[in-house]
Amino acid sequence: MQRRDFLRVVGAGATVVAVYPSMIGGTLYADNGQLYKAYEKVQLVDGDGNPIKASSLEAEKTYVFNYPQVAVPCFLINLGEKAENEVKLKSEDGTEYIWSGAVGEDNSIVAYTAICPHQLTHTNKADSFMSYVPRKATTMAYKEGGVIICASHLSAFDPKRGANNLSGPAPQPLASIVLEHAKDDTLWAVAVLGQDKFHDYFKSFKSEFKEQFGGKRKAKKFVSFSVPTVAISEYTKEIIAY
Amino acid sequence: MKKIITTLLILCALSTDSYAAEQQERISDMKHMADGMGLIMNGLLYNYLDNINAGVKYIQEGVESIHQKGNLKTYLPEDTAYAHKFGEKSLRRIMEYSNELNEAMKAKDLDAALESASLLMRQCNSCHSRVRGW
Repeated sequence: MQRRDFLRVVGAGATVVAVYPSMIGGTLYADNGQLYKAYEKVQLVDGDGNPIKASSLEAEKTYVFNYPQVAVPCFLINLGEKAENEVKLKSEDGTEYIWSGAVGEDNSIVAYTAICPHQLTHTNKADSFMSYVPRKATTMAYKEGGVIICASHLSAFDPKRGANNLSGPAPQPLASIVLEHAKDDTLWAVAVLGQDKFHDYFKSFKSEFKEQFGGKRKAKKFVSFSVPTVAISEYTKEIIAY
Repeated sequence: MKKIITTLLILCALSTDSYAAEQQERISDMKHMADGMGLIMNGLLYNYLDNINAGVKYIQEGVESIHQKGNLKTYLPEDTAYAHKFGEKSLRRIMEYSNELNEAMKAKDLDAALESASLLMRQCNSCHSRVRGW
């Protein structure tokens, strides 16, 4: 290969990766190079398999999907107001990272893992002690609504600022799901940003995974191509919030 | 007037007595489960299977005793009674982890047993820190 051809190939490859970082797997770097892990790019679809359109999401309604593994619950929320950009967050071990912001026409659509970083309380098919409290609602976990709460030990997270931990014993923000909003208004999950605690999560709930997914191995399977995204009331039997 | 005051005093005494009885039952159940946890730790430290089995039995008896009281709403202290769903979930997890500990010991898988014991302890503390405060 000529030196010029070699440079062309390298240049084209670098451009593709720069434009679509999710084209390659493994750990990539966020804006400041911290805690960004890319997984397979997966389209969010409804219960019938039709692509979810960002503009069709009801404001302040919580939707649930699983990403990057079939037993990892995530919230998708259209906050109904613009989220902040370039928010600096800090994980439990002190690593600082940048949450870039929301997607959608109004920069109001966010996604976070529904696993509390305190003691791994999470949304599952039987119940959800994690939930989003709309702005006009009240909660014991925080002085005002518009927050994601963990009802187990009353931690609150700010969805407008990368799910930063606002109050309660949670030692760090919720891990966020990096979304891509395509030109055709569809939504795609491409990566996880923040310290995710998946390792501890999969070690802690063997019986639940057996009951709900047929075993830990099946629960750890990575999602592929597309993932159903449904209202939280359809996903879980009971929502517990205080 | 005397009758009213006497009735009120009796009602007050009965209510205090009932609260004291409920509190006593709660303390008794918790002590039984704490003894079980102690036996498990002792058994794991000294490689004594009988203690681990007895500890699991104590803990599961404690859970059963709480279930027999009926509604967790009235079992919990008044100021945290609203968190009864959380308490119910904690009891379910305690049963799960203690069963997993049993299975791990049967399979002679010490690492899995230590993991289950640690999760069991965490679950106990999770409920205590919420219901009793830390």
